[in-house]
Amino acid sequence: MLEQHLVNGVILGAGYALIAVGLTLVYGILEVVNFAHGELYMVGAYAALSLTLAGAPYGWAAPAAVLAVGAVGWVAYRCAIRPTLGRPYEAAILATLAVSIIVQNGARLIWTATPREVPSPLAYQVVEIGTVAVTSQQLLVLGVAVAAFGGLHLLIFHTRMGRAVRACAQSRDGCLMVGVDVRRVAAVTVVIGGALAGLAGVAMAPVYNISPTMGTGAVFKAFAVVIIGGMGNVLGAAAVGLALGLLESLVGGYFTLTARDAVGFLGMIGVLLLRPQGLFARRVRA
Amino acid sequence: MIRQLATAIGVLLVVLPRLAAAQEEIKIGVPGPVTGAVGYLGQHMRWGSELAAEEINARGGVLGRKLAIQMEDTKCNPAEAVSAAERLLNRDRVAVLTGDICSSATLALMPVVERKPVPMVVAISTHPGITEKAGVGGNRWVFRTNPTDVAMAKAMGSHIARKGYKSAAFLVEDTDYGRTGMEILKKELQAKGIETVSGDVFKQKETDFLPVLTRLKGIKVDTLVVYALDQDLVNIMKQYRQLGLRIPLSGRPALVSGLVKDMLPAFNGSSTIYPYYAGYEGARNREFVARFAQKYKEEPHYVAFANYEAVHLIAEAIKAAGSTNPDAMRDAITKTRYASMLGTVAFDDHHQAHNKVLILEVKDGKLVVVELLDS
Repeated sequence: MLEQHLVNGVILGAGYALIAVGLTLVYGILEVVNFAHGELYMVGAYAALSLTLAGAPYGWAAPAAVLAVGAVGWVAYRCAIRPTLGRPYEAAILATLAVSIIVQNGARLIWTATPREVPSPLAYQVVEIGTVAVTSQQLLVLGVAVAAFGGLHLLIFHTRMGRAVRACAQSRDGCLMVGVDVRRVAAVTVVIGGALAGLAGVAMAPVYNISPTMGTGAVFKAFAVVIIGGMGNVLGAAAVGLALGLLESLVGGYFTLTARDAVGFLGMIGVLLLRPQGLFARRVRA
Repeated sequence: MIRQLATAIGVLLVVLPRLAAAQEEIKIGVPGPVTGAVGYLGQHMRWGSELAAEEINARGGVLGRKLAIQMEDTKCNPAEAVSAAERLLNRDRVAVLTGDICSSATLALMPVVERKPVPMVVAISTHPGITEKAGVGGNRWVFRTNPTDVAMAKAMGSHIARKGYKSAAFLVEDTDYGRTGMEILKKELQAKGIETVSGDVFKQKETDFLPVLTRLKGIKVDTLVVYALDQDLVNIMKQYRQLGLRIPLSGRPALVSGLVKDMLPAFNGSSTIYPYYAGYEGARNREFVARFAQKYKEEPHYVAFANYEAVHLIAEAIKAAGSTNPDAMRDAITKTRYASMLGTVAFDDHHQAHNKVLILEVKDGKLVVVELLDS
């Protein structure tokens, strides 16, 4: 039973980490809290749904949906985030919140409020290893998370663009002075953050049913993860996401579901009181 | 001459709006969740109401006037419900309201309709408090067509005992509906000597139930009592299948939902209790389901049926009252004997109707009616 709880926890945590990383990445570079992040997660799931319904197999629909979400992220950046850069921080909060409301209700108009299932051949394939049962789709979520973190690491530490991203995280003014195109870096960051959310949506959609409001709950957990891990700290978000998933599974399994839901938010309050800069401060920052 | 013209215009100004009013629609206000966690159900509630109004209008409307459905978003939340109802009553001037889906929202609407006053026909909310507060010695404007949580939990308790189960684990949603259901049913089971081994409460829209289900896999329990609406039940059932559990569900899982139809073969022996089921064999129901499915491309959910019947009942009452005067409508509803698809709807002293409830069980992968009880 313990093994099953641990496996459940790792997979749940991989999902949390995938959503939280994009959110914290955008904050690290732009110092903007993207309230529409959960909606990008939702759009990823629905894009996968529409593509599979149009006849594309899940294996093709998934990457196409991620690209589509990246594009939506870029539109959100041009319409809501770029105009508010350099303004008081409430401006960006209100603008991204507006995007969230518009996208969520737009999805309700397009796809209706009926919960839908994204067909994937992996969703009902149960793999049993000893006493542990997982679906292939869950293993895919885990694989996707690992691949995404690997890709992100390569991008940030081994490319020219990555160097610019790290530089912007350290000092935006410094970048402006030496001629780094800060707006381009910001746009790339938002698109990558959005694509990560979309990736999470695409990978997890067949595991749970999807609905236009699915982003709200997901992004709340992601906020807790980002705050505990240190705002803007990518490594922190990944580690805390994983840890939260594990902890929740164990608390829910050995105590009650009600106690489980308190874990993340108690952790967040504790961190805000005792170590407001987050557990992983002395930041590596991106 | 000018004076005569002015008089004529004056007369027209007074008379025309009244003439227009004579042909004006009779508006039925439907406060319910358009957005939020249960937006899916709100959508069915609107569809059911609109289908009924469409049928009535096709037959010439009521008192020579057309019926119109006006839905206002409550998010199933008491505070939002009150402001939605105020908008319906004061801005849209609806003649009558139907109740909300969530009991806490409907309870908040009760004083609002009493103050106005207009009648309200509750067809979906199940909290026993609504009946306790309505009718004799209480709120004379509120009526309920559907059975209460107490009635359904008691009937379910007897069913569980008849199945011979000796132990039960609870998994219920964190609402009045889930918590009250668990409270009443636990007592019923205790009185029948059935042991409750655990009680888990989850918030609506929860997606991860693996911790509880994994725990249940490790212990021996005869039935898993679930109070969950459609979207949550889908996730429970998916994860149940993943772990290969074999514990029959009981309580009030939304097995009637079109969303879980394909998964039923893994749930033989599971049962639920509902005031309606789209698969119920009855000529009028089959006709209703066919019309509904043709128009909305889905089978009607229980809430669609409930509001469909409520709108028909209201139309009959307005006809009997001969006007939309609130007192006349209320008196007509009090005396109504509406022939619903399942039986006759008539209200007792507490304005509670006692229509049939269905106990449904999954047999050979299909949901069938095993008992038809009076509530």
